[in-house]
Formats: sequence, structure tokens, C-alpha cells
Amino acid sequence: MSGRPDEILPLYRAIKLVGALAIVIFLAGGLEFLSFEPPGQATGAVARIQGVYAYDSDSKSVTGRPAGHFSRGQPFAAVVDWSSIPSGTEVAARWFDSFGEVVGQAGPGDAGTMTEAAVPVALPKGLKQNIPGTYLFVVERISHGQPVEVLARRLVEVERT
Amino acid sequence: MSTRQRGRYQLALLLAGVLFLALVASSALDYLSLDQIPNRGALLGLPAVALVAGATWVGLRAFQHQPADRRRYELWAGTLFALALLLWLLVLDVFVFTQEAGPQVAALSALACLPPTAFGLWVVHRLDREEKEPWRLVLVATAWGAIVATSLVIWAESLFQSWAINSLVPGPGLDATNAFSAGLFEELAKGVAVLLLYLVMRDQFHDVVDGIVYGAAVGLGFNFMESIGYMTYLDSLFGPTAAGFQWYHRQVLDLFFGHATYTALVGAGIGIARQLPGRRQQALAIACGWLGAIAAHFAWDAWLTFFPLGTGAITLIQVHLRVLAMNGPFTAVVLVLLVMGRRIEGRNLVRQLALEADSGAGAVRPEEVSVLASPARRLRARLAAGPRGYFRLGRLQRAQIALALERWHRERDELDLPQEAEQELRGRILQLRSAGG
Repeated sequence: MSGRPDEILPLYRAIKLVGALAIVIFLAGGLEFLSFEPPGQATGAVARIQGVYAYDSDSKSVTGRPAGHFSRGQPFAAVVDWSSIPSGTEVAARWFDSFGEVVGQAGPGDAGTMTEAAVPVALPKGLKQNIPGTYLFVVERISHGQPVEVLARRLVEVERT
Repeated sequence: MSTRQRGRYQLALLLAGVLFLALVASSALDYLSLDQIPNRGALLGLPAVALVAGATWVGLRAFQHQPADRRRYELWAGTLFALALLLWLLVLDVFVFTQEAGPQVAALSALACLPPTAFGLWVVHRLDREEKEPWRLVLVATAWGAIVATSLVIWAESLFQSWAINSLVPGPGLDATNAFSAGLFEELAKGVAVLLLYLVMRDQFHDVVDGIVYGAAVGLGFNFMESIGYMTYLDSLFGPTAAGFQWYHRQVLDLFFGHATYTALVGAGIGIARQLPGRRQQALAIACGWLGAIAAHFAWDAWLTFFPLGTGAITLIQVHLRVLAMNGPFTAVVLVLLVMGRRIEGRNLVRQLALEADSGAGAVRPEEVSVLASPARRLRARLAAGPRGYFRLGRLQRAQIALALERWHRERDELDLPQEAEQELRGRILQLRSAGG
């Protein structure tokens, strides 16, 4: 480069600073990831989800056969075989809607003392129907008050129509 | 064609080939997932098919002509093919992003997003005070952001998120992973447009200022299509109020803070690389800009939950403060780079104009230097020239500034064009001057 090679250098330094800032942000993101997804937590334990069923909120019981798709107006709930999890394991079960919001929960508590026959999805505040999209149900192992391992998961679809 | 030019074009061709294959794959997946509306898709895709047929015909005709004319036909065939691709992707985008609420809501959302996006483009176009980028390239960059980039990311993000949801513990860890995938894929898909402009349109890509302009234009295009997608989706779930709020957030509040800022960071890195001498320095500058964009995007998506919104009237204030606190610093970085770039460009413009005037070639007269150095004085001179003289003088001023910039790049050994090109530009200026009397 002839002429005045130094005039672009301040810009070059500035963009390198942007790169360094990016690395700091990625490191912070990595730390956040590791604190919520800590390594070495796999126990190999597996929970059994019997299925996801239509749910009658009056009788608080499930009906029919297990399904993977539901209409927006149909309440539904997951049935977990709590006895499939070793007693003494602290567990919780949670439903997440397509926005990633928790829309149903059981626990946390000792797997041996969990008695919920079904974990239903609750309607979001102000809505008369479920939000369409993919719903995620997970049974999680809890350690120090934080979910650290997924023991079972199930995805169901709430249809648009 | 110089060795440097050939190398750049080959890299651009390779990139275009990879992107084309990715788009074909995305298009095939779209077709499979949209199988309930094949007839509408086929009908709206017909113009794209016609354009492909036209491109083939023109391309075949190119072989029947002498090499001198062949290039013109090849250019036409390429343009028609690119238009066909854009049109087809637009058709797919319309279905992918707007099927939730139907065509009426989608059309209304698009109409509502047009004025703010157009305003954004107008502002971005004016960022380069010395030599504004041609509208055709700015609009190509916008179309890339709206149509090509959105098509490129949709399946990459969907597949990544499907893997994440089936592998990770739901919560902030999963949110951070999804945020990283959004930042990575979206910034790569948007930034590649600026990279292609840098590789192919070197004579219209001068420095960091141009990079920021092209980058922001790509971001505005992406924001336009994404806004329509979110508005139609939320309208189908919660009604028009939710869609209206989404419009305000994305098209007013976030217009310059979100995607425009992220991709402007990519453009800044590429623009700085344009003026660096070594390959290693160039690669580092481009990588740093890109990393900055991915990090900014990641930070917004991953850490939004750390700024929870309350209820009632205070929410409105919180929404604004949240954007300012989270995206504001990155927008400030872009503005700092822009100001630094404009100062360097302006300083060199004055110096090169003065040198050109001193050379006595007649393309720039000594008394014109101070006028050409200031955008406000240039405007006053054009206004003083009257309605007929306004455009003529504008053309003359643009050519004079182009000459000064060409001199600047030649001095820094950043030009592929031979010395004769500069002489041709002087000749054109003299012609424009004599035509004006």
C-alpha cells in the first residue's frame, strides 16, 4: 500500500475491538449455557411417559387414546409413570408452548412421592383456546433447584384449525 | 481482466454456486411442507418459469454471436435468471411467512411495512454524503435481505432448533443455543450479500461508509419480510392489536436498531477490508465485523428475558428502554465507524480534488474544489443552476467526485482498473462540462 497507510489503521483497530467484544459476548453466552446445561449430569435414568391424552378439566382425568395432534379447543395432558424413576430422585414435569413459555407443571418433588395422575396444559391468560404449534413436555431431574437432565420428552402438535 | 479481479470473480462464482444449491434444497423442503397449496404455488410461480425460459433463450442466442456481443447476451441471460430466482423465492416466502393469517392480512401487513422500510432506505442511502451508492445496488441488497436471506435461513434454523429441542434441557440454556443459531445463520445469510457486492461491484464499493450502507439495506430488507411474518402470525393468534404492536416494534422502534445495525456491522468489516493491504488483515476485518453482528444478534435474542416487561403504561416505556439498552450500544458502534469513515473519505476527497485541480487537466477547476468538498455547497450550486441545470450539474459533480475517489484508491493501490480508465473519466467530465456550456 502506497500513500498514507496509517489512515485506515484507526478503523482497523476499531473493527478488531468489535471482534474482541463479540468474543466476550460469546464467552458470556457460553458460561450461561454451561450453568444451565452443566456437563457431567447424565445419570442414565429414563422416565416413562405413558402418553398424551385428551383431558377433561371437570373430572381432572384423561380420556381416549394417546395422541400426537390436538385441536386448539381440546385440552390435553401427559401421563407419567412416576414409578419408572428411581425413588429419591428429585424431578419435575413441565409443558412448554410454541413460544417456550411454561404452560403446565408438576413438581418439583421426590419421584417416589409424585402422585399427579396427569399433567395438563393450562390455557394462557386471556385465551379461550391453546396457542397452535409444537408443545414440548419434559420430565426433568432437578439438582439444587435447577433442571439439569431431561429424563423423558414428548412433542405434540396443536393444529391451527 | 487482472489476476486480482479474476480471483475475486472466481470466489464470487463459487459462493453463488453454493448459495444456489442451498436455495434449491430450501425450495424443495418448502415444496414438501407446503404440499397443501401446490396449485396456488404453481400459478404464482409461472412468471418465474417464464423468466427461466427467457434466460435460456437469450443464453442460447449468446452462442450465435461474436465474443464482443456475447457478453451482452450473457449478462441479459444472467439478469433474467436472477430475476426468476428472486421471484420464485418471493412466492415461497409469501406462503411460508404469511400462510398463518391469509393473503388479506399479509397484504395489509406488507402495505403497513412499506412506508417505514422505504423511509429507512432513504435515510441509509443518504449516509454516504460524498458519493451515494446507486439505488439499483441498494435495492438489490434490500431484495436479497427480504427474499434470499430469509429463504436461506428458514430451514437451517428449523433443523437446528429441532435438534436443540430434542437434545437440551428447556430453559435459558436452550434459549441461548437457539439465539446463537439465529445470530449465526441470519447474519451469514444477510452478510453474504455484502460480501458478493464487495467481490463483484468493487467500483461501487469504496470504503467503510459504503459497507455500512449496503449492510443496513440488506438488514432493512430482512426486517421487512420478518415483520410481515410475525405480524400475520400474531394476527392469527391474538388479533390486529398484537399485529399492530409488532409493526410498531419492528418497523418504528427497531427499524435502525435491529437487523439494520447487525448487518451494517458486517458491512463495516467488509468496507474496512476493502482498504487494507494484506489478505490476513482483510480476512480479520471481515471476520471481526461478522462476529460483531452475530454477537449483537445473539445478545438481543438470548438476553431479552433479563429485561422483563411489567404491566400497564410502564410497559411502553420499558419496551423503548429495552431496545435502547440492548441494541443501542451496537448502533452507536456503527455510528462511530460511520463518522470515522466519513472523515477519512472527506479528507481524502478534498486532497484529491485539490491535486486534480493543480494538475491543470481541466476536469476539476481550482474554484470548484471548495464547492465539491461540501455536500451543502454542492446542493446550493445545483439549485443556483436552475431547474434545467440542476441535473446536468449533478451529473458533473458526481463524475468529478468519482474521479477524486478513483485517484484516492489508485494512490493507495486499491484499484484494478488501468490508468486509462481515469483518463476516460476525465474525458467524460470535460464532455459534461462542454455540454453545459
